Amino acid sequence: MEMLQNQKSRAATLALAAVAAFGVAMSAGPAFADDPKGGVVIDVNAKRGLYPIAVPISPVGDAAAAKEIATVTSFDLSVASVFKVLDPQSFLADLKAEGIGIDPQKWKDVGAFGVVKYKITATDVEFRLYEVSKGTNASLTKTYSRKDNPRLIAHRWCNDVVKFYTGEPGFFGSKIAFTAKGKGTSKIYAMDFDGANPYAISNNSSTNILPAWSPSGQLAYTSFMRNNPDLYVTGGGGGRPKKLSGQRGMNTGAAWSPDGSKLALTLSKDGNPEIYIINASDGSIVKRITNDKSIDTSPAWSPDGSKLAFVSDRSGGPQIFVVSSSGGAATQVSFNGTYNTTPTWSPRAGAQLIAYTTRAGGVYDIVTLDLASKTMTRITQNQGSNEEPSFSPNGRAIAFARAGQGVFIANADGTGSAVKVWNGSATGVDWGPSP
Amino acid sequence: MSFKDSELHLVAAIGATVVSVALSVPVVLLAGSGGDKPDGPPLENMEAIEASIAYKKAPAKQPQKQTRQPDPVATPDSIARTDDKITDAKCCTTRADCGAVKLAFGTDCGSGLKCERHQCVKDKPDKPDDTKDPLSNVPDRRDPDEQPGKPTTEVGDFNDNARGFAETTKGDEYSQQLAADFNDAFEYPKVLSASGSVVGCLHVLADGKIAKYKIDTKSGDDTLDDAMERALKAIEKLRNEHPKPVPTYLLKAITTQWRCFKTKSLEQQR
Repeated sequence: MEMLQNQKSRAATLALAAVAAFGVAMSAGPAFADDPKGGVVIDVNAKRGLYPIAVPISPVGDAAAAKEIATVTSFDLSVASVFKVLDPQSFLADLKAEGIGIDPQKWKDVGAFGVVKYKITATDVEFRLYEVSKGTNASLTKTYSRKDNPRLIAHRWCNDVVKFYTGEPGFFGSKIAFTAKGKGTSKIYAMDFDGANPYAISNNSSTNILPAWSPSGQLAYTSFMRNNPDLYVTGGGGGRPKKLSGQRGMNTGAAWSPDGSKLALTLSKDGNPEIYIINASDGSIVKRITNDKSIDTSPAWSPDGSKLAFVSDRSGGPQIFVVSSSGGAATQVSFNGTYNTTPTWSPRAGAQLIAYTTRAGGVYDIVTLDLASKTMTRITQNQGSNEEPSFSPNGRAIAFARAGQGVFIANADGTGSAVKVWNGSATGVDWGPSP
Repeated sequence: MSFKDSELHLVAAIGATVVSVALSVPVVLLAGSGGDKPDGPPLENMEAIEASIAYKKAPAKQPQKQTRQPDPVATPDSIARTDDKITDAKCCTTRADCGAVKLAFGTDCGSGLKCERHQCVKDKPDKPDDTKDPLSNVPDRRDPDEQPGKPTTEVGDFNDNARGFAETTKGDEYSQQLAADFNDAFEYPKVLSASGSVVGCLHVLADGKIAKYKIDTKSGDDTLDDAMERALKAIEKLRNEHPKPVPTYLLKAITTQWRCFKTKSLEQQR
């Protein structure tokens, strides 16, 4: 009897539980949880951003070299104006287990679109670039001899990565020249674009200013070593300079033509500073470009060599003008403010983009001006006094001097923040050719 | 038990007395308490409560269906009105004038009319009354349920059809929020290019959580399809952690259909 009661009680409990479960299921379940039948489509405009890429340190092999390669690679890619290098602390992958391969999902989970892996052996460094969406097969593989130092190897790899994505050469391994003031002197220095390996170009106790790289890697600069501001040319590694232009008065602000056969510069041999073109081989004058009672200085070649931008005060204050490299009438192109100087032309083929120094409110800033669209883009703002811009060889970055702080590089499209690559006195910045 | 008449009268009298006493004693007591020494706070310390005077409600009516006024009869401007002003009566104002039209001097038009060129016309023209409501001439909508403004459904707009296409700014506000979340989540590197479009869809539940997502149409570009999947996954995570319940009136529309996002062609931005 007791057993029967227990069974009845259990049956009742089960029935209640079933009813309750049914009730819960009916009430908790979404009203329309079935698979949707149709759909509503919304057009969206995708944001276009930097390419998220991960550069983990290789856990095997020469640890010091592995760390240096990861550090240099991360820096290079972060200033290429294409990539966003991810913070290694976020990585979820088991690097040892992965080796030189990847587990795509692990990298997807941290937001990486690309992953750089490398393996250091006694003789080589093998690099692989993975595109996470394409799975475990590497999209790019390169091997470099360890005869070169890890820094140079990393620069070369990064140039290959940039070329893979953009079809353009990178600027990693290129050099930047600048003037640094000493006690009563100014010296010309050069360094890797990232500030590594600085060295002196000029070796005299006089004033040396305005360095200019040739397309082949020579350096022209103005020196007062023989009392007159004459133009000298030396090798990119320094050495004894050769006087190229020693006209009476100023021989300053030289700029090499894109083919390296000529230089444009300011001469004041007739009293008034004017723009001239001279032969790179012997310094002979090819043509006088300007003939105006005002001061004309700071010439810069267009990438095709057909035009020159320069500074003139013919309209009052210093402004940027453009003139044909065969001479003729000059056209004013800068109209913002009353003080615009030191133009430099983007080397990108067909580019109509000029960067220059502009003064507003007593502060100097770097801007770019698209001559075709008249669009101005600010490269610096509220960050000290910035002067003398110079484009990277591929035109994606701009180097400039910040007064009292050093040399910085920034994306030429105005995105991101400027990165300091040289800490100390610096003026007259000029970015050298591709390595 | 039975009573005689006299006994009945006596009982009735005693009862009446008892009832009278019972009713009058509290009245006397209450009257006494409100006399010389009032209890409770003085009047000036008491809280004042305003009460409105009760009024008789108008009898409730069921909502009445509005009947449309007949369309106004369009009448041509000025001409018809001028015609209306002229009457058949003849008139004259001066003796010479009356002689000229062979009417007796003093043949006037009467009140409200005046004489113009020997014709009686209404004294005041029917000018439109500027003091009237300027909207009074706006015709009533034929359909009382019709919404004002331009029609909102144009061909191809966000119209809840199975494959309608729309800008993100169109559609219901819930879908707009969803599209905004998607735009935040979806990113495609500018250094890459993709000529195709990818369509990714979400299934939103009534409580605002995401039941599932899918790639509806692949673009043929692995990275673009991957970017879509990442975005959908990000929204799924976001909405499951911070669900936004679907408004009741959108429940059916939102939860029984996929909400899909279609990317436009993405050229490389060098």
